[in-house]
Amino acid sequence: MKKKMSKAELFLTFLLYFGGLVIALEWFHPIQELLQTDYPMIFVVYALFCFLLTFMQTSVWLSLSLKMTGLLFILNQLFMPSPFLGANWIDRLTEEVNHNFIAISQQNWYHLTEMFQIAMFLLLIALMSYLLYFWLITMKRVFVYVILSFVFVTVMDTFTLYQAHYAIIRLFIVSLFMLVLAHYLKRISQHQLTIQLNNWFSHVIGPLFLSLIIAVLIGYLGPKSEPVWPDPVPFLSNVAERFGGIVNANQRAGYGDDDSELGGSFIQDRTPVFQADAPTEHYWRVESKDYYTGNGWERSTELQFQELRPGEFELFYSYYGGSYQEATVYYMDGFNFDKLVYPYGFSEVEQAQIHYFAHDAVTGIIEPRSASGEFIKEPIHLTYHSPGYTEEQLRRANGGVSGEMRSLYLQLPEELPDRVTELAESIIEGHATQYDQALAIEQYFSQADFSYQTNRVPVPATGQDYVDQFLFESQVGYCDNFSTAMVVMLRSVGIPARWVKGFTSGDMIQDLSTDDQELYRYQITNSHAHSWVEVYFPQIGWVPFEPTIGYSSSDILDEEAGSFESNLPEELNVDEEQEPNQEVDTEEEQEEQNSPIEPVEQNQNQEEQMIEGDSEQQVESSINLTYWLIGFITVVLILAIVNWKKLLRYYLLKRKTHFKHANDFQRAYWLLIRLLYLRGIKRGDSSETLSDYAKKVDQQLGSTAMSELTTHYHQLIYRNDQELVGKPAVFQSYQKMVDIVLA
Amino acid sequence: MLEKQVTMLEVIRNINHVIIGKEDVVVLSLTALLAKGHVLLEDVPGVGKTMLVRALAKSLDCSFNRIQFTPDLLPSDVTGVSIYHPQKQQFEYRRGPIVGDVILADEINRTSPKTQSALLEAMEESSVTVDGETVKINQPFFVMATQNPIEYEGTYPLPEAQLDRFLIKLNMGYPTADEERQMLAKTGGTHPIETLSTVLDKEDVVEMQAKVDEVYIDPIIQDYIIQLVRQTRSHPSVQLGVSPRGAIALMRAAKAFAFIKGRDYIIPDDIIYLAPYVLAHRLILTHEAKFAKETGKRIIQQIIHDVDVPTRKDFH
Repeated sequence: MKKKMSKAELFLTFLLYFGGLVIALEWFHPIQELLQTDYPMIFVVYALFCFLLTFMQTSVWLSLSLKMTGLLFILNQLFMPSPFLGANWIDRLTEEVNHNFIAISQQNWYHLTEMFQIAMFLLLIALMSYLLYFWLITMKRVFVYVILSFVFVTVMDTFTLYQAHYAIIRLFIVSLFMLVLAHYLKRISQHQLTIQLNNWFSHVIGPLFLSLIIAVLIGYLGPKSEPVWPDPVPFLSNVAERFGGIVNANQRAGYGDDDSELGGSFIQDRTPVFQADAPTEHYWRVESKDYYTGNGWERSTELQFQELRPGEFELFYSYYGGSYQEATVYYMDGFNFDKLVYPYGFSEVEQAQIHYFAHDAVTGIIEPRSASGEFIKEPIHLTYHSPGYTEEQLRRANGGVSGEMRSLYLQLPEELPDRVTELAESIIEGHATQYDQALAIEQYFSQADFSYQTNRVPVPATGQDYVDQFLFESQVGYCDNFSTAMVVMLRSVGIPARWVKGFTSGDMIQDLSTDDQELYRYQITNSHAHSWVEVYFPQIGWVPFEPTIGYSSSDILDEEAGSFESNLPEELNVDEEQEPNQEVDTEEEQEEQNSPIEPVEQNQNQEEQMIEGDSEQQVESSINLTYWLIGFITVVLILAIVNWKKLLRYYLLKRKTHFKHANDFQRAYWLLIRLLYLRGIKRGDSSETLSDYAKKVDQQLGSTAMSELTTHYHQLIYRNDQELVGKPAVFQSYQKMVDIVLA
Repeated sequence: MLEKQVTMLEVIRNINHVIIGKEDVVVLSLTALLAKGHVLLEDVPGVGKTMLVRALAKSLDCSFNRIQFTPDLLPSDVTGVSIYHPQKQQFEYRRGPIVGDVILADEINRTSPKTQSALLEAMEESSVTVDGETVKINQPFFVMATQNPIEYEGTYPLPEAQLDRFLIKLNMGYPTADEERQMLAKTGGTHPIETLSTVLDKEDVVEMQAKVDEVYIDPIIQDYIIQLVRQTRSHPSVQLGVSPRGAIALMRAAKAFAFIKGRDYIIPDDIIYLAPYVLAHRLILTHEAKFAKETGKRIIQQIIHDVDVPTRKDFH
């Protein structure tokens, strides 16, 4: 803004820019849905902050550093426990950046952390504030931005869960307003008019609003025809699947009945399902499924409900015989859930109004019903026992599995890739008992490079096996991925297993403990829906396993029996060595196993490992190098963006030293013409002479420099006066022109 | 160079003093003069053709002859005749009006083709041949021929092929109201020509003509001329395009024009400015084009628009 703007003009410019911000906010809503963040306000506040800073046109450095500080501050508040700019802060940040750059370099988009995504989004907002300033205020071009916004919002509406119903109307109003404003401002600056304040309202704002209201009303109330084209989503998602993209609207949210198509991201739905008063944390079982299709889980048999009276309850799982506990479940209104949630070892239930329980023996579904057969949403008092078996018992459990069990719980789809079985076999190698084998598979996920996340989880392509994709391609996912993979691997090596659904222990919301009894109230929301694994042990029955990383269940074993073993691979190794009937490893194998622990050997083997390319040090240093390189490039880029005019000028004038040859002058002259083209002064066509063009340029820029320079250029090419090139006069007029063009 | 250019501007200013609002015509006439070419003015009577030529002659300190072409004018009335000299017992050549510096050949389309061709031959050769004897006409030799628009009755239209003897063909056209008012205001007791001063002399003109020859024309400009000329030959509205003589004429005119503009090299702007004046009358249009009221000038302008201006050069 070279020339001083009048107050009215400044105000209108501000309005225009503010409109840009409003439209930018419309972009945020769907993006937030994509990112699934919980901090929408922070983006708005940060956007306001950035836009205001840019509008104030403070020095570039000041506003840039303020924006970056704001960005880091937000990240710190959201994600980092340490104080802002504290001691560990830099380390933490570096680690974060490292991790994400590796993920990017390997194109593992689902490995990106939430912090990184939010950082990128904030950076985008900061950049957008600059970009919009240039677009809207310097260039006064609104149309492209508006059209892009419309396209973006409609695409989001079509392909995601985002509903753009009102967003479109808001966009329409704001963009119409901006278009008029931009046009008005453009005219004013073109003809160098001043805004007359006295008739400003009646001549500009009044009619503008009137026509806006009329247009919106007509658009809103007018009849709208049905869509002409069929819904493109099925077609497009089909195409996307074929190319193996992650794009899919198929997203799971909490507890559902249909598990036949697993995969895709998991939407956090915080609707409370029930509350429970219980002395300890434990899982709440609901049902199991037994038939794996390659895409998900189904029931192989129809539900066959038997009626069970409250008094008729036997121990549901006979192998439970530990201490006796009680819990009360309160179903919440507002969530439609009609099955009983029960802990392992559940034996009795008290509820006055319950007439009977509908019980399916295969899945374990229990539905409390009233006399009229309806689900009862009254509090239910449950009695249960903690597990009564020991690890020893499980190891010793042996014996045949009945044919029915086989057909139900060893079922696998024929198309299951062989490598899944091969992997399972390699995992259980060296483990003799079924229990140890199951443990090994359970532990495999935490030992290998798997990670838990709920968003950006890929959907298997058509024909691709869900487990296969998880085990060998993505290696990221949530409970469904881990539990299904474990069941499938167990089955592939002949261990009967099934897939169980239920809820985790939830969030503790109240401490109800008294002096002689521990009691807590937990709230279980739909996002606590979970799935895990049950393995069948002859004589003992179904024993739960928890393969999902980050989850642990106390149900698996009695505490004394050694549930401490859970996630520690080293201990598992110790166990293996202690195992009496285990084959003694050959020395070579032992060395291999030990190598990551003993650094000396590692050094000895370094050469070999370098060839293999998995030396950790090497990886580390190359990571550091990439990180520094990317950091350096980023800094250079930012500097370049901030100082582009100076850089361009430097680049253009650098040719001074090269002005020795006629070609250099010629090239410089044409570069200038290209720059002028970018500034909107175009050469008519190739039949326009350079002097005519120069006159046009000079007229528009209010100078004579281009004509002067063109005369020099004429002398060069039409007079063949190559000696002229080195003369200072030529360079001076060139320099003058460069300054004018970049002004 | 610069000095001569200043005097050229003076000549132009001087003539503009009496010919109001016709700077283009003056510059083009001088261009033809310096390029040793001739001008054909096509205009209705009374727009100041004679005045222009006389002012030109006076400014350059040249002799001025006027030949009024009438239907009964004989070739010898133009070129001169050999007369028997009784004392010397031999024929002696008596100069015709064509042998001079600046000649106004008025209304050439009113005379017979035979006389016309005598004039055109003299212009072309810069000499006259009478009874086998050739007499050279010295530079500066500048003929400004005028003709009434063809529609007038009682005219012998010049054969189109002959027209390319003229370097430049132009129209003066009527002055604007404002210019006409100025003219009326200036008209007083004395003839305006009397008030004109002489700016250059004949030797200066000859010297300038030599300088014009030295004006540099770059090969890329030559190519440009060639492209323009070749385009006239393939243009659908043109029966007969510009001859190589036309290309040469354009180059010579451009040199003179560049000289007047104070340059010793030609730029494409010179060519673009001159091409309609130098080339248009050399085109013979098809009947269809004539019927569609197409004009040579418009075709040339079209061609200029179609041909790329040379703006780059390969330096090695």
